[in-house]
Amino acid sequence: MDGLDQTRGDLDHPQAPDWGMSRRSLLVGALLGVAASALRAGQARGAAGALFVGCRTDAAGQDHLTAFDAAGAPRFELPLPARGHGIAFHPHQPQGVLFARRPGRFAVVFDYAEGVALRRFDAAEGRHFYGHGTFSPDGRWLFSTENAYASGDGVLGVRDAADGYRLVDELPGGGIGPHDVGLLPDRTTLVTAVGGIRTHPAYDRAKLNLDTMEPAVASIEAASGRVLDRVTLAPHLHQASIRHLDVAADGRVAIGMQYEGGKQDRVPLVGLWQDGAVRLFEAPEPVRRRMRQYVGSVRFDASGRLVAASCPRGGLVTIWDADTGTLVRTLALPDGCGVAPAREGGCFLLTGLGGRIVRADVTDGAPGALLGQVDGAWDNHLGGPA
Amino acid sequence: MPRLRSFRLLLLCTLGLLLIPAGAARPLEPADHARLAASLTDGVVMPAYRGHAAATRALAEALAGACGNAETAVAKRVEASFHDAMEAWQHAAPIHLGPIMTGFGPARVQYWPDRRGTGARQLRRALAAEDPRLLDPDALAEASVALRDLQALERLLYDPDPGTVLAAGGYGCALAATVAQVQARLAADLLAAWEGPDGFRQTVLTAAAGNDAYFDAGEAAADFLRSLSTTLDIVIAQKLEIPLGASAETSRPRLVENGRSGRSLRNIVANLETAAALYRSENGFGDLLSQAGSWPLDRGMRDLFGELVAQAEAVAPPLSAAVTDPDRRAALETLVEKLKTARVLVTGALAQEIGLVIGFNATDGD
Repeated sequence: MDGLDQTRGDLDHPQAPDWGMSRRSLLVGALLGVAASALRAGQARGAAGALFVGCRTDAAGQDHLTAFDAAGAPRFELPLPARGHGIAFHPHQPQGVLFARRPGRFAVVFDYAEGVALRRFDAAEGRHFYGHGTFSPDGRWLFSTENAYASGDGVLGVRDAADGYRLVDELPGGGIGPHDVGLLPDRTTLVTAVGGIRTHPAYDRAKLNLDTMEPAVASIEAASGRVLDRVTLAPHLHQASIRHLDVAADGRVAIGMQYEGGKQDRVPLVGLWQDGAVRLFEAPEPVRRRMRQYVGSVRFDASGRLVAASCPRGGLVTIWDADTGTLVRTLALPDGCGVAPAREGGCFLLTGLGGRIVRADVTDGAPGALLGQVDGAWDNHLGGPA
Repeated sequence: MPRLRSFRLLLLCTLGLLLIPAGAARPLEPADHARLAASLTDGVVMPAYRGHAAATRALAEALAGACGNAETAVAKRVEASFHDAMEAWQHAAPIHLGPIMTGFGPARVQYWPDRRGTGARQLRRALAAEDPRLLDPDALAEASVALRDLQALERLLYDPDPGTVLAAGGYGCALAATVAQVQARLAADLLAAWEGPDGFRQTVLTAAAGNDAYFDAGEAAADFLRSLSTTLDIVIAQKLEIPLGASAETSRPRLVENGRSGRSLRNIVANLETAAALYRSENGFGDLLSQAGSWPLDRGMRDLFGELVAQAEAVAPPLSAAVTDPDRRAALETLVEKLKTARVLVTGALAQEIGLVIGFNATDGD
């Protein structure tokens, strides 16, 4: 039996959560379960060939969504109203949803086979996007990390892709500042990187609770919104904001941190969440210093054995062995932040300063190869359909 | 138009020269970045915060005991001291590093832009309720920033004008005087947080050895470069493009900064003066650029920063009227164009030549 039946079991006997679970949550859960099993058979993939999508700001200040292929050749480009951030890719249709960079409120649905924007939707009143989202396995529901800023609660918006991305529900995000979200291979559990930092759009991006912040990795039952588990770091690491994550096929979750404490503190910035426990990776001291207390993106390679963690402040990308937690190698890339796995194991595509697109093959030990260069500056993230 | 064209030509020549390999270039060292950060701290930051503290204290003193006084001289003194305090703040506002960035950030001094009208709403409520607790500076300092910032003060003083408000006395005037006291304390605290053996000035000066705020001098220097580019961003987008709109018909004169006191353009000039100082002062970005061998680019940028200030000064105020007037719009559009050129040069060629990355992705945590 797969996790879907489990979902239904929980729906029959929902436990009383400490936040108010709505009837709509249950409805979404039921639909999630049913639709997922119905659609699982048809694993139609989108356009052939690997595609990579990121955001960039050109020299004139105009923001774009920019797509290129595995060789770095341009595929298509769409104008954006402001800076974009992360992209959620639909599991079965050639569709992606780009979220605004926080505290932005827009999202753009685009068709990457045709290279066209399909629609725009905005965060609900009193909410802004944190910048990341993920689809349910059947592609019906879109979950997005959002800030309910009046209260400061982190939430997950739930939208119906089959109904024009209408907002149908809201789940708890697992704490203050859930920034990134993924879906575990059990197909029923969402996992969020809870940054822990309270912000309010009225004060732009000012951090309002650095003394009391408590980052975490939270797992949340998609069907019910029940927070199943919430792992925090040791008290002395409470300022290590867990900002990004990537889920491997085996259920391991790579996490990347941004440390808000002193610049001389020796703290880990990369780790692995597995079954409710976090294992932190330690970098050799010279590399740790070069990482500058800041990881911008974290991604597994295609094999799921390597983790790339980019350090744009330090101008390098670190590659780790997920099994042993040891550093495999580093690549120098000024302002290098966007990371996406290439189809081949051990290979990543990276974006960095000067609009550079770089391919790094970890297996050959060579420096990254420059594939191409676009006008302007790449934004934080690079993504692509599975 | 001819001026614009010749300017573009100059710029192209400048950029063209930049492409010539600079044989005499001396590779920059960490010590160069340390010198820049130290020089800008002592040459630009400290005078700006000293000026802000002094002008804001003078404003609080001018308002103390002035409520109920109908003398023209008193009103004039209050109005002049409000302008001095705002002017001083606008000179300090481009410095996006250090103590001002903590807590609620620069909004503590000036909550602007206020797109949702929070300040107006909260102030209206406070004036209706006449809560006596808000007349206690300690209590007001804990209230919403939109009730105790320079925007609130402007709103109180220019409803309809300082003379009438002072003569009428009453709760609104008393609240204005209390806001000024809160701001005077905040300005003194900000200055104190820079000064002294544990102040942020020392943090910048010791960045090369690594400390709580910086790994090295390059990071401190990059903070100054980011301040420069952020200032250009804010002036372009918030202070000019939003009120300008696409045409005179679609302009939004009500969205200018400090329209009530009619000082929108003076604010822009003050911001650009500090931006120019960051570039042109001794051991500032311009000097570093020349040291790195890019003296032609330096010369072009030096001129450009001068032109930005002159161009902003040349537009006849108020900005709210200028955005609806075709002639003045043209001048403002030229200013925006030049500001954008400056931004391209600051974030591109300048950053690259002096070995600093103000990446996009490295700024503030996403």
